[in-house]
Amino acid sequence: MIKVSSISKIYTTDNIKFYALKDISLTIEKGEYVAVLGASGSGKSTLMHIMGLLDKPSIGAVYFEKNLTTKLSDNQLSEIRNKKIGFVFQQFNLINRLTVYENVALPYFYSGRKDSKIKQRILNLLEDLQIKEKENKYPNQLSGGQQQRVAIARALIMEPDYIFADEPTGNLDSKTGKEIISILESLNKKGKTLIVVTHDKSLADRAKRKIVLQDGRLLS
Amino acid sequence: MSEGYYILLVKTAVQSIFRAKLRSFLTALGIMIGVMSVVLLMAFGLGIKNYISDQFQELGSNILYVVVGKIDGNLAAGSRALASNFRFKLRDVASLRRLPEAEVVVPIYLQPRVKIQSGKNSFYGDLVLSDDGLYKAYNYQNFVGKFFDESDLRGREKVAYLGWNTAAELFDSPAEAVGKTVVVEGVRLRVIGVAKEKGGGSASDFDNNVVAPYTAFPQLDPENNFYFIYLRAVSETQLNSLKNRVIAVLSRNYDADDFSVIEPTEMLNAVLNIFSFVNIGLVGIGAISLVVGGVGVMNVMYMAVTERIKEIGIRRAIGAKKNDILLQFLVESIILSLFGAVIGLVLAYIVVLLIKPYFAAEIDLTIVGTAFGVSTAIGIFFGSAPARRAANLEPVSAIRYE
Repeated sequence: MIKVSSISKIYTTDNIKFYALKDISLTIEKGEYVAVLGASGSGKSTLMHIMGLLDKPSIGAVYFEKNLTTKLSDNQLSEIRNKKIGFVFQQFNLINRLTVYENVALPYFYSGRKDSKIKQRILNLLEDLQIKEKENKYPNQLSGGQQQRVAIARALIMEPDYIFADEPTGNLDSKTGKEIISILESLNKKGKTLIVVTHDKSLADRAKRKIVLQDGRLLS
Repeated sequence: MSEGYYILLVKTAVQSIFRAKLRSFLTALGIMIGVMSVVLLMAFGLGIKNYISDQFQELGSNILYVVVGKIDGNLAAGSRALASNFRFKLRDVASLRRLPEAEVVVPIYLQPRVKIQSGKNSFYGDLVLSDDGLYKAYNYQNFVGKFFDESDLRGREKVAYLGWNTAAELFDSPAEAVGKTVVVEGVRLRVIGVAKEKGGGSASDFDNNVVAPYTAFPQLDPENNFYFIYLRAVSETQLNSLKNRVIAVLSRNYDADDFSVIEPTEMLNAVLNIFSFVNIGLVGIGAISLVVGGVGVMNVMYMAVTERIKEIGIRRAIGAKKNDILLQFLVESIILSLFGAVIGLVLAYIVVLLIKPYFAAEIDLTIVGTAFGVSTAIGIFFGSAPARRAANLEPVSAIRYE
């Protein structure tokens, strides 16, 4: 469960305050499929970053599985992001100097765990996503769709409970985009909480629940 | 952390270096030059130190020299001491021979730069008059022939034992010297032996000597004019006791300013201390170039952090802690420094190989270890500020960076 309570995100420039988010309260239960919908600049990515513990609100509280996140240290937040949350970004955000295998393995290396079966798990994941043969390739040798599949594999390697996808199809053609959405939705069917941030209404309609933002405020 | 974590860390660091080859090379150049100059200075220092120590080792341990005049630890006073009118006498030698701690007591008369002639050839060397104990005292080894013995001394035989250079200069080859005649200070001497080449010496340059029994030159009155007395203690533990006894015996007849009792190891330590001080100073100056190299590393690492802000954000998003980011950039900084150090070491090694026939220089494991240690320290010190900057980046700001 992720709960945000009266959160605001304020940026100050030349003594002028800008509210990226204003007084937002909502709860996302485990296993939900939620779309966060809004136009560009509505604050949806900011909301995702705060719920995904990448950012902190200026005002208000964020609870992650009943833990008040403001009381958590930077290392604790990193650990939650590593083990409980998987991110899928619009621009894929793979590390170009690492191979596909190494990109997927990276969260595991940061976890501090020692798992003798990790190599097989990574290969199984790549196979499930139909990119096993690309194991030793670098991201710039892959198509957009393939890169996004690698990003999904990276998001799943630690078997997180929550998947945050920020405009996951934004850089893809419609056919590939549909494939990616299909993969993400299959993860939700397996019990993962899926939060998709999008400006695309048709994509948002696929979700079981919609959160609509406008100018930093919650409309519904 | 799993093994793969560290392997990936090093692999990423090496990749970063080789991705920007020219930039990395230019950055490492400062470290390279610094390491090369420091290693060469240390190599010269070690070579010279070992050369000096070897020369003193040649003299052997448990040794004392009793010399005319007061040296007082000031080595330059040695030449002034030689100008003193005071000389040792044969009776002093006899008194010292009675000391139980003394295994060997050898008197030495020295006349520097005398003309040594054989036929039409002449050579300026040192005339050394002593007894048969000098052979062992000076660690001579025969190239050809033999040293004079006690019977030659008692028989006042006019015989000579030549240093290598002396024989080489006077005859077609040192091997032909035995049986020939040399003339020194108007005295005709029959050559009975030539020493193997030695190189260097303390009282005189061994290779340029002509050595004869002191009884062969009565006109020089060596028995009342010895410059040095060489003593060897029965054991190292008795050296100090022997020194005190020698001072006590000679003080019965002479003033404290008339003579000095010197241990070669004291001389060696004094020389090495002065030399170490100078060498450390030179190495310190050479290390300045390492600091300059380190600044270059820091500059490049700051650039690397700026270029990879987004990557840092991605890594933080997927669970990297601040220390993971810090370690990543520190490792890169260290590897960049070590890259320069390895090349600097190789270059220094090549220079040492080339000059070794002409100049004392050695690279040992301590020098190699020091070079690697200092380079690692440079990498850590100058890489830490950029690494901390990377680690302290806010994940969300970094991930949004374009």
